[in-house]
Amino acid sequence: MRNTSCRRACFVATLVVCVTLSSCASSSTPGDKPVIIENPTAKSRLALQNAVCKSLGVAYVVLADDALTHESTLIVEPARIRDFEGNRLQGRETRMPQQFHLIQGKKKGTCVLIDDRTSVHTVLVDTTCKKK
Amino acid sequence: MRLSILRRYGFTIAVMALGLTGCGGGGGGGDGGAPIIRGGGSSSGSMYSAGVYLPSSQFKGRCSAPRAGDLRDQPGSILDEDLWLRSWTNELYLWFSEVPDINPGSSTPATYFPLLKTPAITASGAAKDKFHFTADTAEYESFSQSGVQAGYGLDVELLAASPPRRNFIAFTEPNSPAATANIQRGAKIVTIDGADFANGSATVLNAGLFPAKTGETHTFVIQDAGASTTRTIALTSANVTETPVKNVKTLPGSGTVGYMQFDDHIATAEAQLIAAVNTLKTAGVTDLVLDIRYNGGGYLDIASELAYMIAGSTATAGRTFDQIQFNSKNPTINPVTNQPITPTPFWNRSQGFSGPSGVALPTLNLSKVYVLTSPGTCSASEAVINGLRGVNVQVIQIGSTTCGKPYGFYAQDNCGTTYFSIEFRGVNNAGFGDYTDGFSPINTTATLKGVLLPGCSVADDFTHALGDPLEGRLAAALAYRTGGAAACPTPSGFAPNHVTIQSTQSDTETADAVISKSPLRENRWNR
Repeated sequence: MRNTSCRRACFVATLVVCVTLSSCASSSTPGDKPVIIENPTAKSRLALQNAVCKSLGVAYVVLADDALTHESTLIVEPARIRDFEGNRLQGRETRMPQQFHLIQGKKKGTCVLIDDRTSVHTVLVDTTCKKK
Repeated sequence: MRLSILRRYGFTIAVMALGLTGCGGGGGGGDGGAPIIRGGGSSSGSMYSAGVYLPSSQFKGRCSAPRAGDLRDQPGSILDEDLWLRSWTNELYLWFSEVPDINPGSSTPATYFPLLKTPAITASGAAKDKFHFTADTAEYESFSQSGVQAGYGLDVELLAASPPRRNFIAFTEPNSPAATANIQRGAKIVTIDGADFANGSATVLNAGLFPAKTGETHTFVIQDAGASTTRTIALTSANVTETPVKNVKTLPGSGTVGYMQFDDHIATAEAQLIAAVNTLKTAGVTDLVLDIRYNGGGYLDIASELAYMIAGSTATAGRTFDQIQFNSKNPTINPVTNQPITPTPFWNRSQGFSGPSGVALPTLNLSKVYVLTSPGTCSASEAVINGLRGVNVQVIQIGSTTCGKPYGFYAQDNCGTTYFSIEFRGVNNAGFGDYTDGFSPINTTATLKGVLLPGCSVADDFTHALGDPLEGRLAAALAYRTGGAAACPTPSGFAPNHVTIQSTQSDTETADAVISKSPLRENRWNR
């Protein structure tokens, strides 16, 4: 089902984010401190989901409720669509997964999500992080 | 209604470069007001001409109903879409020369695409091309955290998908709603939301099996394995994290036989496989039973890593795990990536799917492996079998015939539909890839059988847990290990998830059929 209004909103959001994120793209450094999310809330989950969506250029991604609470690396991959016999259509997947890393922000307790593919850094709002 | 899935906007940067600030406008399509051209004409000015195939690029993205705001689309016609399919097939389909040249006439893409494949049948009488599908592009282009699926964490195997339907629970995911409800392998679903599983409404059953969102509660009546009574439970859908590698163990009493259940070649499987092989190596296993009966494939590089870890460096050094081959028009260059076609080696270092790349992989150095299979053993899983056979590792097959998919696709969007048309096949180090009918244990009695391998035809045994040495297929593997083929039980290789429906559409529900796994997005709805 197509949802034009949603797609419009997402399109605008993506444009805005691209402008924002382009100014904060940089390579991760060895000094980056890996962190994990502490006491996730609905707001922090939404912040993470929005950051991943915007990095990937999609408007929805399925994440576990405990994403990045045990590990500082997040792996996302393309949908697995199946045929009626339950077998994957793409049994030889040609689209690669994407990885993100969570590091400590400038202030202790803050979190920055790095898209490994683009090096774009996104500060996660409403989110508290701790050392892994 | 399904949760809204949204498409990728990979063109956003291009839009910005053009200085467009609106949304949904610009580019080709306009914003929902695009003219829809129907009938026999093509907006590109082309008509069907027998034997003449114009470049598919001439018709690409010319849509009878362009997606609003999607720069991939521009106004076109149904004939444009049909002609794109026809030319694209002629350019990239593996068996393009076997496709009849059919005038699209008044066909829609949905009715024309199914005709654009080889009508040939295999030696066993099965269709040569069993993998010709479409999917909604928005669905295909969606993402999920690796291994995370919305559902109940319940894997249902269908013995019959049409009335009278039969099912068994194959396994549940740890820490899932199904596991919390103590649903175990061998249980049967009797009803869902009051609908009888055997003969009730497929719509109600599918809605219950594939809830539209997380937090949705449905009522299941379950009959546990061996129970004479039923119990009623409420399952609430949630985002469930799949564990693709399970039950890693040394089998009791055997001392040196390792076992692992490997269900999916997703990114997280890489690290779990490495950990599993390290565990088995430390335990000093000299034989391995690899349970891939429910593994439908995924990343071929992970299949290569697993094959290397089983066979070791001596058997695999400098050899090919899998070599893809396109049609005769594209012998050396991958026509989709425009890169030279190169073989996939046996990777001896991690490829970085779920951990650091470049780390040396552990090895078991086995010259023989037992694989437990079913029709759900497909694609990259079959490549493990074929790749090992290509370097003379003996593969002993216990179970039933695999799905027969040495093929792959670069799925292609056009006008909102993503088309899957076989573009390449994979062959092993010996140049072999002809297993369209799958691999079958040598004593298979079914008419439809594939490439015969040593082993035993054994039905799936839902009365024992996976990894239980008494489970029928595992027991047969252990018996074969000591007694050879003479130890095989009476052939009973039954196809537990072979459903009775055939479809060329992944996004169409067939009347009365209950589906074994979500055809739309198993990453969202795992039951």
